[in-house]
Amino acid sequence: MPSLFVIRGNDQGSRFELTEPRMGLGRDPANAIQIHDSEVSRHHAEIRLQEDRHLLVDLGSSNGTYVNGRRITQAELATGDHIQIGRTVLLYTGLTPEMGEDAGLSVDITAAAAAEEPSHIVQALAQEEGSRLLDPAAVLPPDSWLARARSNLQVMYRTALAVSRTLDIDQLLQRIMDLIFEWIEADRGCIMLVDPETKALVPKVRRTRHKGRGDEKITISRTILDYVLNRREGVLTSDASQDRRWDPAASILQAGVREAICVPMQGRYDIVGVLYVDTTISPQQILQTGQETKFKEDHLKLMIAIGHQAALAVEDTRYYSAMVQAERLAAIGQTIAVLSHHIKNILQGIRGGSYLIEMGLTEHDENLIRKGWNIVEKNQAKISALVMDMLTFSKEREPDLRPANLNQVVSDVVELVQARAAEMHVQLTVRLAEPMPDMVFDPEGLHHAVLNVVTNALDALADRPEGLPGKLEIQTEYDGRLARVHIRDNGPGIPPQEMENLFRPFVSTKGARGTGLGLPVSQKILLEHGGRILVQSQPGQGSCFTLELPAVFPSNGLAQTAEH
Amino acid sequence: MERKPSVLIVDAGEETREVLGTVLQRRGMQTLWAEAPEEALQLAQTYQPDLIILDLQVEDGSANRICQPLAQKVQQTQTPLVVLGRWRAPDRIFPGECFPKPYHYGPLIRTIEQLIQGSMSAQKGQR
Repeated sequence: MPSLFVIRGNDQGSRFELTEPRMGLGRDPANAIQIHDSEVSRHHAEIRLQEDRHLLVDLGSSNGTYVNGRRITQAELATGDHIQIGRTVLLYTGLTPEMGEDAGLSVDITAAAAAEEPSHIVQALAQEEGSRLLDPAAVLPPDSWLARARSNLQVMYRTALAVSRTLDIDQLLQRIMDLIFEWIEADRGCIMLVDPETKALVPKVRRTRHKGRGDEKITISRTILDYVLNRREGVLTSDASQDRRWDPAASILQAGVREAICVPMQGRYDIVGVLYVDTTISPQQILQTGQETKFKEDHLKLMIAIGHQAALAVEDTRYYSAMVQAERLAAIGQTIAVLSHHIKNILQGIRGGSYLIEMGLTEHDENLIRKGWNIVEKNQAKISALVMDMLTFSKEREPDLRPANLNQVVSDVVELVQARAAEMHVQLTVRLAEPMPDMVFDPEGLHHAVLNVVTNALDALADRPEGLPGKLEIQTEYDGRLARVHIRDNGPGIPPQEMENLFRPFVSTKGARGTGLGLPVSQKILLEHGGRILVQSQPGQGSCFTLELPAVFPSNGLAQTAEH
Repeated sequence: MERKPSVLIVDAGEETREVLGTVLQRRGMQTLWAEAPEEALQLAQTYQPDLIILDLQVEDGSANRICQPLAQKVQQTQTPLVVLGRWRAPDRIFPGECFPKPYHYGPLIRTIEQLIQGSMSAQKGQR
């Protein structure tokens, strides 16, 4: 299945399968491929399927669409292309060519016990021989096959490097098979990979040059495979016996000759598989050309070189997948650790509260009961906030977009935090922009986002040096295109080394107080609206967080708000 | 009249402070508060409490490193120390108990009372 894989950006690790003939890319949730990146336009680009190719079309985005670093308005995609929109980079993997023979069903490995092995090894070459082929210093007869091939071979090498960019091993192997068939006059070929766990060879790709012979089984002798794997050498085999070879009257003219090349896929550390190709030279061909061999030492060298490249590409692909997997597991582990720590603290609070209540009940002391109950309630609020944050953060939640007023949202938040600010002796100033038109956004989401940032500011002010009067200023602003909420505090500020982790989930500097979800959740909400959060902070001076929201007006109010 | 036993509580969160303060005062104990282990060292020197409670807010190695000097101090004076949270140092050098979170208050309070009794009778014995 063709796909886009996000290799950089907020959606890193996401994979989008290109199932529809037209699929939009953009920030807007209506896009089949929604990108959470504030530098991506709402409807940024589109991928269109044209016959068997994918076309990437820029939809007049503000920041442009780039393929492999070049800005495009429209481009045909090839596997391995890097698509950059905004700060997000996606890797394109295209359609697999129609070669889908079931490799597993059509490749047989004959056991060593089958003594009547018709083929024998004619030649064997070590791994290093393959790379010597590309050595520019090698002296070659000017019109030799090798000299001609060498220049082309370098092209092949570049191609091989290019295919190493795919993340799909099956597709990678298909491409390698393409290359082999392009370069070697083989009739049939297959690639087998060593299963990392069982160490058994598993056929992955199988190819036949002539249609109609596809259902023929490829039989490979176990002895030859063992030779290749154990000695790490490529071999050229032929079933023409030495005797028959020199005897023109012999059966060779009846049955023809079958030749095969089998080479190890030698990676950096180990053999990851084998490449195998064979060819049959018919009696007619032998009579016509007088030649009874097609494969020569040069072919063997070339195959060894391809085998090495293929192995490196397979290893790279595997390492990349393993790395992504490991990163995911590490992230899950960290998430669980932080969450359990936080939940443990909440539970501890509830136990404290209940202990006081129990004591109050025994001693008939209503004050004690009330004290305990307050603690229980506080922790109840904490756990429900945690659950809400977790839901907002994890779920692909659709924002509930409707006309609302940002000033109203901010006033609601202010009302909620006023008491705490007063308790902390923090001077709270609110300045609301006038006029502030109604805009389309998710008022609950925005409320949540603003509240998280304001709560952080108050937490920061709790850590201010004694005697310093705390100040918190909340201001709204509207310029016709964007609406902003500024939240300024004169707390201790954010140390530069903590700035880059600000929006990373589960990273909190508040110890037991923070879940590390507040800012990531706020950011997610703003990104869903096509907005962003900007941070300025001066250690020792305070911080200013700006929530920026693009102004979208209710459709019936468009004419009237356009005047602003 | 017998003097009130005193407990020094270090680095406690707001709620732990409230619960422990209320309960211990009702059991006839005097409570002292210290924000950080450094401050606790000073207070321990000046007031010589009968027991110290240390609330580990963060349960990683850094907490242990900070609290190590306090643990050494209580070892010298044989003041029992109750640690709330997991003490991850390889050997527990202080006299007292550890209560990994989330702990129950019942057993905690009982342990505090027992340790204080032991500590006070030891002091009497010295006199």
